[in-house]
Amino acid sequence: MKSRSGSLYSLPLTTWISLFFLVPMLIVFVYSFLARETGGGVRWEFDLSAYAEIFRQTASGSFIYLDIVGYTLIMAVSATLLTILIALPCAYYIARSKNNTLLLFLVIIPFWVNFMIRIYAWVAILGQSGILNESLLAMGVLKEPIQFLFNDYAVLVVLVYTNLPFAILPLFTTIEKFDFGLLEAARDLGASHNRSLWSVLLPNIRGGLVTAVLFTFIPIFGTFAVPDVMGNSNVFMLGQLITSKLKFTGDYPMACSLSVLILLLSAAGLVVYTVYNNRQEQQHQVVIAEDEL
Amino acid sequence: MTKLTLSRSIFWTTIAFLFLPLVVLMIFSFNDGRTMVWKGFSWRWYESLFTNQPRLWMAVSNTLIVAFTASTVATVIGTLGAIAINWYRFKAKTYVRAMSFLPLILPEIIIGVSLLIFFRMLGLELNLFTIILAHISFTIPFVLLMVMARLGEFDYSIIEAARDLGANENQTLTKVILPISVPGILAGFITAFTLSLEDFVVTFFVTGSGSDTLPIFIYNQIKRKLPPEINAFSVVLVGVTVLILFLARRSIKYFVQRS
Amino acid sequence: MKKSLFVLITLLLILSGCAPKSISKDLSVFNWQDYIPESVLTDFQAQTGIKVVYDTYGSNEDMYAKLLGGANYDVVFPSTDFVPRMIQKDMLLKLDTTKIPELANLEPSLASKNTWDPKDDFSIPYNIGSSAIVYWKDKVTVDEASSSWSILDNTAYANRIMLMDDPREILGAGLKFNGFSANSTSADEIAKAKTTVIGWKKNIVKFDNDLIKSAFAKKEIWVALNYPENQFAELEEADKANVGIFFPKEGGVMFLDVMAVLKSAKNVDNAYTFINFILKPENLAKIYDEYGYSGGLYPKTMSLRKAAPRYDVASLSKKSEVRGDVGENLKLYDAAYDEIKVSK
Repeated sequence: MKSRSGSLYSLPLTTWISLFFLVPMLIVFVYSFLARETGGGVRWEFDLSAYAEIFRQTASGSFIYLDIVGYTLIMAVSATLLTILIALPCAYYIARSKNNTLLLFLVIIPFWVNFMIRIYAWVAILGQSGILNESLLAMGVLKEPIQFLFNDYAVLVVLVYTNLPFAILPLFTTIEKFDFGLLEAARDLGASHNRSLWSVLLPNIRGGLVTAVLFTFIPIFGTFAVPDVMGNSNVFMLGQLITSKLKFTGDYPMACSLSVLILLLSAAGLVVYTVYNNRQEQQHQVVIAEDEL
Repeated sequence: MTKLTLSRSIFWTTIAFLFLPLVVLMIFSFNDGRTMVWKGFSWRWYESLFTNQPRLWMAVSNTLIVAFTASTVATVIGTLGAIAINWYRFKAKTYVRAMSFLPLILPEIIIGVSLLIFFRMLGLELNLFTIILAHISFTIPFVLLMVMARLGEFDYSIIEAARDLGANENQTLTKVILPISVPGILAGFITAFTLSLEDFVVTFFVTGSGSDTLPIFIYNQIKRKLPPEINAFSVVLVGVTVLILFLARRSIKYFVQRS
Repeated sequence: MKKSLFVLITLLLILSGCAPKSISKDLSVFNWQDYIPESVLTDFQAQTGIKVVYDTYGSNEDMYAKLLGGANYDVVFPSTDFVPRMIQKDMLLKLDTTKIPELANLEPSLASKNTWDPKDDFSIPYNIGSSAIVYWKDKVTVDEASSSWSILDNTAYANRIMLMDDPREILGAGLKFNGFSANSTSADEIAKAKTTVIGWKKNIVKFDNDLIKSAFAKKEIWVALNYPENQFAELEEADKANVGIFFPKEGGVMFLDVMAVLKSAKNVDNAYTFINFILKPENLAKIYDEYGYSGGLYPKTMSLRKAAPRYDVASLSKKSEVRGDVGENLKLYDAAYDEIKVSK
């Protein structure tokens, strides 16, 4: 009876996945081994140059594409860290509040404004003739406007901005379930306020924390619109590279080989996640097994 | 409680940060000029929004249809799947687990192009239907994660208890599992809806003529001067949402408490 | 609860099915943004009764990618560097030029420059123009000597320069500066061009096609490499007199866009009607006027124009070349451009 339900519940998911995830994935994989057709598209002949290109070295010895991967990693990790650091107390506050749905909606509402518009609003805020500069000038803090835009920091700010809800939501979901009585108990036992949060709350919301990190890091890692608008001629992230390969140069194979690379890098993270979940699973499975006896 | 004061101030500062662009938009929606230079207060963009922008509203309608349909279907598929993964054994489990998170790792562009090629292979014409299919595909993992994060904090013993009390499969599902998953399901639905509303990259590749969604419409406009009607529209959208939420707050509270 | 869920889903799916999947169309056109004004389209629909569905793109590559992916249109507007490729891939319909009487108005000297489609079998010239250095007169002094690409090397304008984001244009600038052809297929020449551009990077804020206009309009940057029509579009009327343009004396990159009909087109007759309508001198004049394009392809339109074009194509340096197809060697340009983007 139980195994039937399992299959039944999972049927829609399995079907959809096979059709709409697996097949496109296979396409990407296959394309990465094909030859590039000038101007766009692929030629159906086996060709490894899409992968060889990734390791290309210039005359001066720098690995252009690997450098981009490195830079993207640094930016993505920084942005993720910042986002989580801000999201945690926010999610905590919402979970402990009586009006959590209302507060959640407050967090989500700005995101009903279109993505592109929000980015351009930041241009209006951070730009040389923008609001931030105007206020700082008016307050006498600045003598001349500074260009806050077009650098790594502007990119970071907007990356954090666009990803906050996706960190807050899963964190909230987990914290909400947490039994806050445990914190009281810890304090009764003499732990300081911070200690109880660190040792009692955090371990118990590990699941939500991992989810939040996943939700934040991965989209940031592949982002292209934000660095494209907010960055300068020295900002070039992996997402921009892939977009450039697809839209500008029509180099499908390399766009796909880069994607396969990203996949491999992320697969490592996912393996960790799955192993962690499996350990949780085993606890449940023991119970299921006992149930079936 | 000292801790709450700290998290409270962080929270409200964050809210201010999140709303800042919105405020900027709002200010300029009342600007009497076309550019970001203040020229005086005016309602003209709001007037123009409702009288002069048929293509904008067409795009809005398309966007809403897509968002509602896609997030509902994704939530159903995702919730059922999450329940299965979390508590049941079934043959394809490892496969499903591994595959489900694929769209999260692939940059949206790759998802867009690969889905486009796939749809063409199937001979599908590009229109709202293909957009919906694409949106369901990339929102399912989010629903999955949200619901699983919620479910994962529960002990299987709840289901045991229900069984012991004589519940059959259907009842276990509807009276035990689903109710406790509601915050996760809700979070999943909202996430899917939001993602679908503002999706640009994937949609760009699978959209056909005449089925522009709002982000595509705006992107096309943003290359020239952005028509200020869009600022007015954003303000209207947010205003309407807030209004609905305000009016419905009691029923939302009730619904959440019931779980 | 499950039941109501299913009902809801079914309703929504039905709804999406009923939703207008695509407006009924008699003609679908795929064009650059800012290439045909709404008024001309309305006129067309009024005069011929043909309903037009009009989609836009921002680059040839975008257009090409979509078409490769199978998107279906009747009329498209590629640039000349894409036409040979599209012909080779059998994407374009061979045109019956007898059905396009307006083609006779084409400037005759152009025929000799036509390397991409000598018999105009597949493409109908539509617009020609060039990118230029656009600058604020009160911030930048330009004379005979300095109207060169070397202005990009001038540290007086550090962080006040933005260039358009286009590999052919940027490398073309580097190539022309070094005295090579903008359609070069030599790896060495392209490498030299690349090094030159990387040297310019210290002064360049960004390679961008959108913010370049607004940043310039706000005087945050003083020098821009872009199509003049696009740059001017964002300026306040009063400022326009204060902005100058020049075409570097070493020569630059010109573009020529054409109209073509896709082989997979469903409304071929309507396509011909559309092309002929657009080519009518009064309509072309309207289009060129609306966006300030220089025109020059169809002399008959000149007398009908209400606004003087921003520049005369004839005034371009004799050394400027029309962007052409470089075939397989495009790889060299792409790789070089990536390197430029990545170098610090």
